[in-house]
Formats: sequence, structure tokens, C-alpha cells
Amino acid sequence: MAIVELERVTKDYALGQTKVHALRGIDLQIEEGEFISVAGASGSGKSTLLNLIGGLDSPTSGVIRINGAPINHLRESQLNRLRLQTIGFIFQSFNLIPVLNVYENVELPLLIMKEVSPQERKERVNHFIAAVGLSGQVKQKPYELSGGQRQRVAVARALVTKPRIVLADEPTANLDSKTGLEIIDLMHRINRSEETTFIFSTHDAKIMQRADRVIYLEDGLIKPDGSGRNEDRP
Amino acid sequence: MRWTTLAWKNLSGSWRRAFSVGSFTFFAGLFMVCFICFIDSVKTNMENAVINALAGEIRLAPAGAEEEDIFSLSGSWEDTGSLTKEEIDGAEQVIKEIISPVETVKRVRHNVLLISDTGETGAMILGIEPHATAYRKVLSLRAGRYIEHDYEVILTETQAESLQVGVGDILGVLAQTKAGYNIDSALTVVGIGSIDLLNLFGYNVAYTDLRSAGELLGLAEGEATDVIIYTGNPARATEIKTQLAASLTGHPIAVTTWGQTAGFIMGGLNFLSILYSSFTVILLFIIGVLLTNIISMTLLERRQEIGTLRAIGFSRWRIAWLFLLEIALLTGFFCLLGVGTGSGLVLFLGRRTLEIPPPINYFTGNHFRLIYNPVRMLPVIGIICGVTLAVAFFPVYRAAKVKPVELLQEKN
Repeated sequence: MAIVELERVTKDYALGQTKVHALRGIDLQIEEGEFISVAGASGSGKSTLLNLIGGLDSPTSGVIRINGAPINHLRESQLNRLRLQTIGFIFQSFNLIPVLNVYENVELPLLIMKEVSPQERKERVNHFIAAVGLSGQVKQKPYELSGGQRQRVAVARALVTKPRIVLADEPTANLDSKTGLEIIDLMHRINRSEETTFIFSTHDAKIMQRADRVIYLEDGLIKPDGSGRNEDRP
Repeated sequence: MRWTTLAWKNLSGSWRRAFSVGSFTFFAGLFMVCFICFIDSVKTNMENAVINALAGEIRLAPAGAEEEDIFSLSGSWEDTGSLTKEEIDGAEQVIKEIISPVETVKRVRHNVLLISDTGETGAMILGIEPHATAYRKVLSLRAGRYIEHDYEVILTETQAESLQVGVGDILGVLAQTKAGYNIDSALTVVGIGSIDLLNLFGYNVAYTDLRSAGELLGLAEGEATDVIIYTGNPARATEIKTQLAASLTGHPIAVTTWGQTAGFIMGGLNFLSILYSSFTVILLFIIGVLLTNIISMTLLERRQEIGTLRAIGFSRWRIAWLFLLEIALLTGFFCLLGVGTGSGLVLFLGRRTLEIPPPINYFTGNHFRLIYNPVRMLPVIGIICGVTLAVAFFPVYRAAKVKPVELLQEKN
């Protein structure tokens, strides 16, 4: 069973008097453990697609299923729970809380997971900080870190709740190409070790090549040949 | 990390915006403490003046006397009748059995004409026993001394000026006894002074001794127009009055409290309280509007943070709660700081007697001392924190309920 399934999903926005068709009927299936890149030019609908999968936005029509269950009509509290337990987010601008240090930023989502004991919370935070290679920087604030290090913190924060899916919206866009590739490789390693499904958007060809599969979006549609497997990835 | 730690870190990490919100609660606390202490002091000083100069805490008067408001000038004071020696002795016995008064003073009140070589003026005289001390607490002497013997009088400054007399001069006194006969006497001026807190209400009473006043009204030895009682605790006046009234059933004596006796002045004090409440409401309204704006602006700056928290699973209520916790910590801290500073200022100023110029001295007297009551600070803290949280709720809830995707799109 696909962990993410989209069926004829459309999304329209009203932009003043104009209606923008961000997605025009997407059919997509993503299997558990996949490492997928969503590619396309600016305005092709990459972010919209990730927002819909993450339950941050709702489709105009069509059905989105996560782990087999439709999420279109979930209540606000159920969506919060879904985002907390099943989905992790990584943002282009890192979106770390500036007043919190590395440890506290990673710990943040666990504050609202009542089922995680303080001891387990501590273990998880330390485990994922170590996994992203920042054990020596736990007390540092985001402004004391480089862009790559900040994104590593964001990766650890996304993973600390042990989500089954991680959505990353252009996670390398604010990084130089070398650091960007390091982040993608880090995500890929975690994808293999934790068996977490990763879906990330990018328009960088080098980054795309690291993905198991690339989904090409153009004008709100998946290109006919745009859901192919990368055979030449390292 | 705890929620309070998170809230505190958010506040300390952006101390400028925290300070801008906090400064309002600081000044609100400071202002309200100073204002409430000022009003309380005026009220307490005025109550003390009324009680010590005139009304006592509890007053015993002949039954059927309808004169409850001393400042109601309708009718003659002598029409209220008098208490006989037996009635007073009986009442004093009951008073001793029920309460242990600090002081019990027999009085004779009468209207007379004071005559000097250069003029004459109508006046109310208040005859008191020479050992009475309560009136001395509030009657400031400009010259001379208090009553110690018979046939002595203390004039107000206005009376002394009108009659052009000074300490040591002898005044002629013309009055009418309760039987309707004219009577004259002579009193030596032993003091000149006034109860400046009561000047606002036209209080113009000459104090004399009980015997002289009794003779001018035609009373026998031991008779008086009323008896006033001091228990040392004016707040218990109503309770003690009820006890006394029950015990004096059968005696032709009416028992009234200082609140009833000096109703007009108490009305004036209530006006001050209303004035204070109105100022407070206006102040809190202005602070509320300003805080709503500042909090709204602050939340606008933190929209990306709200979007991030929503994306990682925080509910809107959890976010609203977190922001309200920040505001509660901030308000609590600055409010306590403001109340503390205000309390310190009041305590510092309260250590000295302040010389108050006109026209404020109408409310305060010429010499004013601030009184600090720590219990009164609790409602100040409660009101400020409550109002701040109430005005913060709407912008916080509005910011937290926005769709996370809208907040994230603003930056990404």
C-alpha cells in the first residue's frame, strides 16, 4: 500500500480577480521508504503539492490519502496530530526558533507529544542531533551556525518525532551547491537507516540526481514522462 | 525544556518588544498604586477628621432625634433635645459592659452669637469635657492651647479674623436656652485653629467646655445633647451600634454610626472613590487599546514562527496559550515592578508630612501624609494582569488561527 496517494487532486487559488490553477489533476502514489524529488520551474506547483501532502492546505478537489486514510476532511485537531506524528517538515529558510539553541529547537515538537517521556525525549533529541553531526553544537543558537548547520538542525527537528514521511520544500535553495549536496546526502542516509519516506522539492539538477525517483511538475501537472526512476544516481 | 522556559526565552530573546509591552503595565502599576494610596489617604484622613472632630464613631442622642446629617443645616440643633444625667449614666454602664471604649465624650452643641469689641458672628459651639482628646488629633492650633478649664473657647481662624480677637481676649456670648430664655456669658479665647480638612464643607465650629455650653443651653449638671464613643476601630462601628442598640432597648436613646451622622461628607468621599474608579477605567481602556496594537504588531513579526509551530503540529490553542503565557509572565513581572516602585515611592513619601498648596489642600488638608495599605495592592495586580490578558486574547487568537500555509508562504 502506498504511504502517500493522490487521486485527481486539483488546487486553485484566487489571485485578486484571477483564478490560478496551481495543480490541475494530479495522480500520484509514493511507496514507504522512497526518496523522491519533486522538480519543476518556479510556479509549477511543487510547494503546493508538498503543502497538500502535509495537510497544511486542502485541495480544491480530489483525494489525498496518507497511509491509506483520506485527509481531505480531517478536523483541525486531527490534522495537527497527523503533522505531529506522521509528517516532518524541512523548510527552505530553516525556520528555526532564533531564541532557542540547537538542542531546544530539536526538542520543540516533542514538547507536545505527551506519550514521549522526558527520558525518551532526551535520548531522541541527542540521537538525532548526533545523526546530523551536531553533537558539538547543542548549546549554540541558530545565528551562531552556518546555513548548512542550520538545515541539519531542521532535519533533526523534522525527524525527532519519528515521522513516516518527511517533506522538504527546497531544502537546499538557501545553501551553496556543496552544502546542498551534503544535506541531501544526509537526508538520504537517514532515509535508508530510518526507512523514512523523503519527498523534497528542488529545481537543481544535481540535487535531483540523488533521488530514487523524480516527479517533474509543469503548470500544475506531472509531465507524462515525469515520474521516472533515476538510474544514474550515485 | 518547560513551557515557561520557552516563554521566558522568547521574551528575553526579544527584550525590546517585551519592554514596549511591559512598560505600559509598569506605568499602569506605578500610577494605580500612587493614585489608590492618595485616594485612600484622603479618604482615611477625612474620615478621621469627621470622627475625631465631630461625629465620634458612635453617637448616642435622644430618641426621636431626626438630625442624622450634621451638615444638614435645616432646623436648630438644640431642637434635637438632650439626654438626662440618668440616661447618660445608664448608657455609659451598658457601654462599659459591651465594649471597652477608648474614649467616651459627653457634648453639648448649641448655636450662639459671639460678640467682641469690634463685631459679632453667629457660630455653632461644641462643648466638650476638658479631658477629651480626640478632637486634638485633628484640630491644628495656630495659636494658644486646647480646652483645659471652664469658660474657655477655641475659635476658628475665620471666626477670630471676623471678630478681630486673639488668644487671651474675652468674648461675649449670647444664646437662647432650651426653655426659650435669652442668656449671656463670657468665654476666654485660649486657642485659634482649624480642622482644615473640613473647611471644604464649611465647618466653622468653636470648641468650648461642656459646662459653659450646658449653661448656654440651659441644661442641668450632667446633662448633654449627645454622647460620642471612640472604640479605636471605626470599621466596626455598625457592628457595635447594633449591639448597643439592642442593649439599650427601653432607653430613650438613639444610636447612630459616624457614617450616618456625617452622611454628607461620606457622600463627598464616595464621589472621590467614583472619581478614582473613573480615572482607572479610562486609564485601563487607553492601556488596553495601546497594548492591543502593540501585541498585534508583535504577532505580525512572529507570523513565520507561528506558521512553523503550526506545521510541526502545534494546535492554534496551544500557540495561543504559549503567547498568553509569555504575556502573563511579562505583565506579571512588569506589573510587580511597577507596583513595587509605586509602593516604594508611597512609603518614602509617607515618611514625611507634605505641605500641600491650594487648591489641592481642600482634599488633603494643608499637611498631608500618604498612607500605604499593602492589601490594596493585590486588586491592582489582579486588575492590570487581567485586563492585559483580556486585551491580548483577541489578537493572539486571531494570529494563531491563520492557516499555516499562509504564514509559511510569506517567507518561503
